[in-house]
Amino acid sequence: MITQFLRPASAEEALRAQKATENAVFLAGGTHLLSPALRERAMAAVSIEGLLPRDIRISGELLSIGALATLQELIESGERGQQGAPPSAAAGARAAGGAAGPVAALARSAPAAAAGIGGPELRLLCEAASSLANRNLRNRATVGGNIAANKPAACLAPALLALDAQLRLVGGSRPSVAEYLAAPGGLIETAEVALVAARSTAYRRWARTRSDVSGVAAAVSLRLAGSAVSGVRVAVTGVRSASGEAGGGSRRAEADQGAAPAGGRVAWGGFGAARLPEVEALFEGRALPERREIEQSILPLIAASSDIRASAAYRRLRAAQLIADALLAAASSAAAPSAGAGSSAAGSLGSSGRGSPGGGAPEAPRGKETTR
Amino acid sequence: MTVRFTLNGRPVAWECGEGEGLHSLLRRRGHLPLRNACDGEGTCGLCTVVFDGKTVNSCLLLAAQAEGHELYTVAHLSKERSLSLVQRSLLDVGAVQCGYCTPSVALALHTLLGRSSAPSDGEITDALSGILCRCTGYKQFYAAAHLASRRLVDPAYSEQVAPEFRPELRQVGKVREKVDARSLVRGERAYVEDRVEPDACILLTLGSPHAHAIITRIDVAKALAVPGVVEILTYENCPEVVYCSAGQGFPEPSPYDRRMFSRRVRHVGDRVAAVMAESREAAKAALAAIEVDYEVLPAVLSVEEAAAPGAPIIHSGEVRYASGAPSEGSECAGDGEDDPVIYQFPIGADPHRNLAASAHGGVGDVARGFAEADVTIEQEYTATQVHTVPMEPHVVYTRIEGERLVIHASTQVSWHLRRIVARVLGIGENKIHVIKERVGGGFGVKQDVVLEEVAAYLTWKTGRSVYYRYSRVEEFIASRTRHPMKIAVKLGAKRDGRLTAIEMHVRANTGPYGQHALTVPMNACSKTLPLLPCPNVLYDIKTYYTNTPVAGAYQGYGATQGSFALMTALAELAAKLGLDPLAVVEKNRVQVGDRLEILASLGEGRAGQALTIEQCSLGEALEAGKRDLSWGEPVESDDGDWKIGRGAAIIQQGSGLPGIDLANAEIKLLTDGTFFLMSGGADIGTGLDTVTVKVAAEVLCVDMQAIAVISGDTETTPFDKGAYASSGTFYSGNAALLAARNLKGKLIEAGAALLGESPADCDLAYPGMVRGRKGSVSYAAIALRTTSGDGIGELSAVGTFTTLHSAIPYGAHFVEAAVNVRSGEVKIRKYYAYQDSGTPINPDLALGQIYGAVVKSVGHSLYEEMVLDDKGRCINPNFQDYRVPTVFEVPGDMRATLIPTVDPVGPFGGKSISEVSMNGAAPAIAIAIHDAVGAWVRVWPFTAERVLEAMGALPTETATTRRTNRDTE
Repeated sequence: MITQFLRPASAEEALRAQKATENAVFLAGGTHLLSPALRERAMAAVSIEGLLPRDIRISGELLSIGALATLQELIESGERGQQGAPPSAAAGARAAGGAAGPVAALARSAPAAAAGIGGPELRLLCEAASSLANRNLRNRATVGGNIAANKPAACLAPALLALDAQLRLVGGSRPSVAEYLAAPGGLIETAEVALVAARSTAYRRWARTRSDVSGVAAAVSLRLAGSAVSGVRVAVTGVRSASGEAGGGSRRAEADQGAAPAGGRVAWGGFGAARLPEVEALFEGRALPERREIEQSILPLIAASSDIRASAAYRRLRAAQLIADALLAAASSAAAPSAGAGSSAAGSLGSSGRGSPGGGAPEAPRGKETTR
Repeated sequence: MTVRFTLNGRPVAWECGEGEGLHSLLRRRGHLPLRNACDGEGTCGLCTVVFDGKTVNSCLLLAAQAEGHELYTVAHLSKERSLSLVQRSLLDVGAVQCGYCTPSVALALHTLLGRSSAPSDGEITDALSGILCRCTGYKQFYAAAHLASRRLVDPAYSEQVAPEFRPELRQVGKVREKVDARSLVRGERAYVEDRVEPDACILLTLGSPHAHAIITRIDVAKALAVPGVVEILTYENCPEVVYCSAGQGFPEPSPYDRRMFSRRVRHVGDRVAAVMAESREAAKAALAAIEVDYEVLPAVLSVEEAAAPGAPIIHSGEVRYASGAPSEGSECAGDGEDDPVIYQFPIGADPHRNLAASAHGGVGDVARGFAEADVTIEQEYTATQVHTVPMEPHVVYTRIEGERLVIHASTQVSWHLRRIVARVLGIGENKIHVIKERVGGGFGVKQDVVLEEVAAYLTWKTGRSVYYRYSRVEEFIASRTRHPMKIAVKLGAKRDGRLTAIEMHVRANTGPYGQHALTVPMNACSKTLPLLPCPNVLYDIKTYYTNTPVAGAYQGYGATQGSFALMTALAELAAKLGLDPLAVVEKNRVQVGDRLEILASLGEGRAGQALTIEQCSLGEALEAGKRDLSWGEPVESDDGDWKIGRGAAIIQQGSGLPGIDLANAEIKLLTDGTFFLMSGGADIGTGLDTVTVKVAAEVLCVDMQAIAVISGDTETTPFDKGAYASSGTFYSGNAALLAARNLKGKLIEAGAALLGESPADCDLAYPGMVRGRKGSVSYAAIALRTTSGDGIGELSAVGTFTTLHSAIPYGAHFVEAAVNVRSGEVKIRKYYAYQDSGTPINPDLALGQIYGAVVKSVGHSLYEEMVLDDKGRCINPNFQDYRVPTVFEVPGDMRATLIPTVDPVGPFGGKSISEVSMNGAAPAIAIAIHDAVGAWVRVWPFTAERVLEAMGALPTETATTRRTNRDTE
């Protein structure tokens, strides 16, 4: 319940107003703050509309996303980048860097630089954003809000963690996304991702249906040198590290935090976004083994809980499969960049219906591209 | 505060609260087509507005956030009641059903065409990704988008959107505009919520937190003291009368086992108290101030628990029978602690053993049949609890007009509603006027009186208007659901697949109240066994009371669960015999000329009658499906993780209840030669009003525009049993047909007199005249004459339809599914439905009914399930956690084919269409999954995890720990 609506004139004023007002929250798109989960909570809304960056740009080796960019705008910037950038131009061209400027302009005027925009970092973020499969919501939900709401099944968080993303907060502090998620606070101005040469990424998720929240999601980033992978980053939602020592805010679902859920049954009992350092370490500096072996080696390292969406056993199994798929997809697209985007949806089978009504469901069955 | 923005092209400056939602402000200011199905969760999209060119949910915006922005609603698309290109296209392809989502869909497609003038199917999917629709199956939205896209280039472009039938007829079988579609696509005032006046009181209910308890103390004193509270009802001050909520014909084959409020609460969400207040805030405050002490009783959460010796008894009051004698051995004496249970006649009940109803019967000798069999199989199939999920929840608005009570209802059964409310209030039916408004989705759930009687009573008592609308949570836990069932099927067959014996044991869960307790489970047998005539058949049905959410009617009734069990079992038998499942279907299916003796033992609370099948299009349907799907030719998957399989099932339903149902219509000639049709039928978005107008127009030789219709209004239209049991087209359609025929006779007589000819020499002629041998006279001239000073009076005629004829709609559904062997996920690649609905009277709308039923049934086959915790609380009563199919879940290639026959009794040969199409998905998908991966899934929904479990690819102990063990592994 919003009890008060404040419209400050600047980001700094917003920050002051939020500190000075009881129960004050920053209001951007509103898709989280105004949802039923928070409806009974008395809050003063501090509108940040128009006070923070909204553009998605590249400056040198940095991809920078304005906090007020909507998820839909993020996706559209990625689509424009891809249109302007033949995939074969990928990694090498990025080294040339590029002048700062909005993505759309770059795509038209500076294709070499734009190739970087359409590259693995933005693609990973776009895929993560499109897992919120509801255009009406994506038209309002903002990148900053998606991070700040810090919901366990948030779509961007695993991708940002896999990319070692950093945030720039109003007032100058620059926590990593992992640090922010562990202790949220402040007003996010931009999210920044360093563009890394020869990086490859992939995103995989399982949900009961395309527009359900993810039961498990996995984001992977790595570099390939010869046959060995390095800089391996594996971040997930829905499961956690079996050691319980995972960094980056491994949290139980909201449903688990309040009143004890009835009879042990909860609607969403997954874990919030976190990297899986033990899994990363398994493969760092090595050639990836075959799929089955990756799955088997990951399985003991992850833990899960049961909810109405899946049993813990099923969640763990799917997490191991999705991480394996994502690792292999990333490695394979790094090895053969011309084969296409490592993180693009593939799956010849499930996409058979594409082109006919209803068949355009973007979430085609996956896991095929590594062998094609 | 004041908020200033541009709305539909005009600047506005409106006062609003700082925390007021945009949705609330816009509705308050009269912008009605902003609907709401998800209570602000953001998952339904029915409150869509266009905000700076983009579709957004107005429920997730504060009014203050609109400051300085440009907004428009669907009103912007239809200036002065014209239709935009997208609206016109939605209407032309037949995509408007209940209409509740249509304005939002129109906005989504309108903005899509703005950014992409020739959108791909993928772009259309994306555009509609935030909008839920339960009627249409989304398919015709694609056709509308493509049609609108063509019209951007060529405004005059049109195309044949559906096949047409019966070339000798002018209206019937032709694609014509649905009579209420214009109004709905414009988002005009149509639903109950649009009738509510500003001074209406709000009604909210306190639901029980316990599945089973006795109220030991209830104190409403503090709640009554809350300013603005008008009245509070509890078991202490509500009518004593017990009744049944099922809107079935009287006498109902269902127990009268509920009071408006009871001292005993029997499910989580069961009514404890109702607060009537002048504002929602006051009502909420009062609810919170009601003090209740409960003595919690042990709860019964499954049919096994209900049937167990020593089980807690859910109805312990006296059991009475209005006629007939109780079942042998059943107890009737009450414990004096509970409300009575009244049966109108015996239905095999024994409430003191939690048995709400039972039936058994059959033909032949199953013991002999199984002895003759070369092979037998026996399996149990489980239909878990699924919800109907109309986008518009249960809602009512009641008010006093003079000395009478007016009920604005979202109902399928206006007259049953009137009867039940009259009984509860203890007043005459002549004091009650039920107006059936446009219904934002019914699907069976609005066959029950779920909340109307509470609002009606309070209005009658206080004289003040009451608006009562369920929240989405209440709709899930306290309206009606599909009966959960466990159905054990035993089949015996010869080596060649010919059945020698069938046994079906149905264990149904009716929840704590017994509406439809006999008839839904009966349908599991009576709408499936006749598909497989077999000399030896036994069925046994037991329906139990439990403390789980209340069951009721849902499109398909029990046939949907029965088809899943019987058709899957038949395929399991085929697999065991090493035969093609369709070869075994072919060997056993019903054929023209078959005498169905089994029906004599399958009446619904009364004797049934054997039937000789005169028409059956199953052969054609099966041949078409095999051909279109290249049945028998292997499909190779090009991805090792995905296996492809095919399945098919034959299905049937009925067309109303012969010997039980009755429908009336009246039609009159107006003074200018146009007509006014008063149909008793309840159009719940299916196009029934279009059916009645169309058949009347056909008979009267006029265009449909010459006939205006009102329907389902107990004051101005004649009695009709209502819209259920697939009776709309057959009964209400026939009543309109008979009324038109009777009026035709009068027109000819009056016309002949004017022409000076013998009526025998005259007939009606298009457009709108009586033609004799010598000349012709227009209806206008006839009307002028009959209503003048020496006229014979206004010409009008009534049609009453009853029949003993049983018109069975048949169908065959074919599925090609891909199953992921690693994840267990199932994707429907192809879904081909072949349906015989007799003469398809509205072909485009009939296709829409099939698409909608297919997608709903894919929903319960793959995704939908109400999950209860161990206290009987539903833990997924919202759209985020209960997965209603969105546009993404539409099968990749979904087709519906109408196979016409001509029923001898149906209006112009028409039969029913919508319910039957619910019955094919579950068995066809289960069979396809088996074909793909060799595993049988026998519990719906076939979730990825259940499929993997059936494949043996997941450790089986998870099956028992699933959902009950939240501990981290």
